[in-house]
Amino acid sequence: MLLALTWRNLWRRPQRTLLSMAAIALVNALLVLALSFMVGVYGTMKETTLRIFDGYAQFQPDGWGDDPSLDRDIGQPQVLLERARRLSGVTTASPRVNAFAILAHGDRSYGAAVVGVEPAIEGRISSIPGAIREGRYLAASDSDTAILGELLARNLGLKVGDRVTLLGAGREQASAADVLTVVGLYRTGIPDLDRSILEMPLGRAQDDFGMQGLVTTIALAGPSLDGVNRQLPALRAMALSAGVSVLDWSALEPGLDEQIKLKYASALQFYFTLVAVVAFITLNTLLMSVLERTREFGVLLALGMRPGQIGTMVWLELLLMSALGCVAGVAAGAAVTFWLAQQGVAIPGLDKIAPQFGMPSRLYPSLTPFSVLTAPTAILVCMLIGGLAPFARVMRLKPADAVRTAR
Amino acid sequence: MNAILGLLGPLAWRNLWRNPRRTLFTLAVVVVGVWSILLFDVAIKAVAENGKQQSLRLLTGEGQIHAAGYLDDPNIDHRMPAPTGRLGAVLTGPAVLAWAPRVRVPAVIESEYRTRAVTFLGVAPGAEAKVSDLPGQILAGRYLRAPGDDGLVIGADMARRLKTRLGKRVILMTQGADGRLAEAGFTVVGLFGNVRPAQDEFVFTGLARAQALLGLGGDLSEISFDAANRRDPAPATRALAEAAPNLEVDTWMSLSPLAFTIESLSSAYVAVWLTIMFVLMAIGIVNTQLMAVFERRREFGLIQALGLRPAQIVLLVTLESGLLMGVGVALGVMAGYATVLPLGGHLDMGPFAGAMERYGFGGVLRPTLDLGDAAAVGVIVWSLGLVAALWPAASAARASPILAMSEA
Repeated sequence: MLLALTWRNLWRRPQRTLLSMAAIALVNALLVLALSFMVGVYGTMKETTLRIFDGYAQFQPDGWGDDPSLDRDIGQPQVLLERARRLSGVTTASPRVNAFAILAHGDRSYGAAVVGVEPAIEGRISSIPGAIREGRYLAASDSDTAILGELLARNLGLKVGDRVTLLGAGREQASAADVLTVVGLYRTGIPDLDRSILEMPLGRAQDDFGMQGLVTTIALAGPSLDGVNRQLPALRAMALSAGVSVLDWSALEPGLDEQIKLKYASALQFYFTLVAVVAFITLNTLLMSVLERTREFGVLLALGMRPGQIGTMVWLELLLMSALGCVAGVAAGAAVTFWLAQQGVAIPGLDKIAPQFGMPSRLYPSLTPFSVLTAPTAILVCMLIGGLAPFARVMRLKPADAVRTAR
Repeated sequence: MNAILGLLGPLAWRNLWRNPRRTLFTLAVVVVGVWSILLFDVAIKAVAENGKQQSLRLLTGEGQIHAAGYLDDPNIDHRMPAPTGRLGAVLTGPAVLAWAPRVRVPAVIESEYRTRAVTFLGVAPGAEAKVSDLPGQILAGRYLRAPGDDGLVIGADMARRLKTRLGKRVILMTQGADGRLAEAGFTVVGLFGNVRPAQDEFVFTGLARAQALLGLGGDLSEISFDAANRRDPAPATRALAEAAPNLEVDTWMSLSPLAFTIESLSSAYVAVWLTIMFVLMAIGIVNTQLMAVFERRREFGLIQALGLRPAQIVLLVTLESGLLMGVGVALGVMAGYATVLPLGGHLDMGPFAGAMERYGFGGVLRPTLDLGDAAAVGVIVWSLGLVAALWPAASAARASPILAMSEA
């Protein structure tokens, strides 16, 4: 009975109800769109950034992050590699030797990271093998070859086919030297990466740096970041038994993690301001209508309705109206988002800076339970709590005074 | 017209306060709306300005001059002579506020334990302090004192990674002007504490010392400058480019595209936000005003019966709205100032400081409410609010005198 009354009350002033609902729907639609964009863009950004080189997780010797020295190593890489590859969600494990050396060609020399990799495996974990712009990537049968970033090659005056000299310090500070033939140049579009890494076959790197049979890191990847994250407990147990550490994506790219968290925090702050403003406007209108209807409520009281029932009725009006607004807004927002997710959105100017942040130049929003449900939940909770004010107002009504109130 | 306004004006004002509760509902919408728009505007601008300043006051400056090809391949081969003649005259002239000459080349730094790739800069300390904040960000030891200073200033984090400290010697290796490997030992005299990426990338010594090590004579890699006109560096850039046709003169917009994109995106973001907020406010205003008008049907009927024409009723209600919006906007702007001023232009980001620094922002925001912005928001909200209030005004004019007065 109360619900039927509420429903009819809503449509006694259709203008007012529709306007309030429109405000709620507008905010819902906007927030669904905005949150879907955040989820989609940051999700892609995370995966592309990690896929360039890091992988979704890594085994590293304890203390490697603070002091990447070749004196720290992973002792029996084969055991770890095989155990990790057996986990579902982790399809690739790539052993690496990460060293630092001075590269020289002619009279030019630059410092760079030198990474020994298994050419056959590396392509499944890192996008560098796919980013070769000139020449080819390392092959499994290679021995004295190297690929390096285009900018690094340009700075060194190197072309495909040239020989590059490598000078560095190996295990226990023994000196390491080698001459390699450049077989390919890569371009990721991230200047820092394109001028800082040389990759060479793992076996040769182990020989050069005195690391026979040892590796410094094992990069892990699978079909999705979430899949690898779900296996973190198992990976931790493996790392513990092997006496090494496992780093998840946020430990590998702490800057990216914090940057995304910061973006979420500041964006959510703005979005909740929006929710607060729409809740305020709706409640303001409702409270005003409650005051206007004092006489009507007085009559209802006189007819025998209890104040609690009238209060509940008003509260239900608010909730019903909000819920309808939310449903309409979420439906509209989700429809637009769905359409945009098929098309992708190009932002002018973004194509120039996007690669620096591991982002594609077209943005794809992603509809997830989080992006769809956050806004309506926040609004309904606000209304649920805010609705107590008109409720309390109704509870204070005295039938005699209320009926006497002039219009 | 004036006579009518003279009559309706005081009437409108009195009408507003005859039932203050009713007025306060609409007033609240306007005040809260204006207040939140202003705060959002302040926050967005503070973040964008912070990012821009962090990036520009690190090393970029508002503009830079290089030898052709340097930006593409920052190598010792791409160098230029110290500015003389016309370029020197423009740099010391009124268009340029400050400028700093630099040698800037890639190098390798070696401590007893570790080796790392760095960017090696030779700077003139006095000039440098005018275009960059970095000389003031020394955590331990001292900054360089003169162009001839042969000490080395490195990032505090770099010192940790190299396992070195103040007073220790490190070796720098780089390619000299003659193409040979130039190598020299330096004593670490200062540790700076700018953002983490900067700490790990840059090391500084005196300009003359760097030129001597590299065999450069008086040649430079880079000149960083600030234009005298901060809002528009274009005239200064043009004058410099004309004075040095063989060199590349760039503004921060092209040198630091991220800072520029953030700045342009943030203005677009503010505009979108303003639109949404206004739609919400308009709905709130129309809704409460419609209700107020509905409550006053009898009154409008009565004054129509007394001879006021419908157009005059529209005018009366619009006047009321105008006064109401005016009071609301004024209170909203005051609330905005009351929120921002106590911060004293200084907001510590506390828990987010670490993340902000890594992202290239300082840990402290400097929120200021620009009077022009406040006035613009006020005028826009006031006039658009007036337009929105035409709907309730029109509905008031439709009140039929007979029907209205016959209602209980």
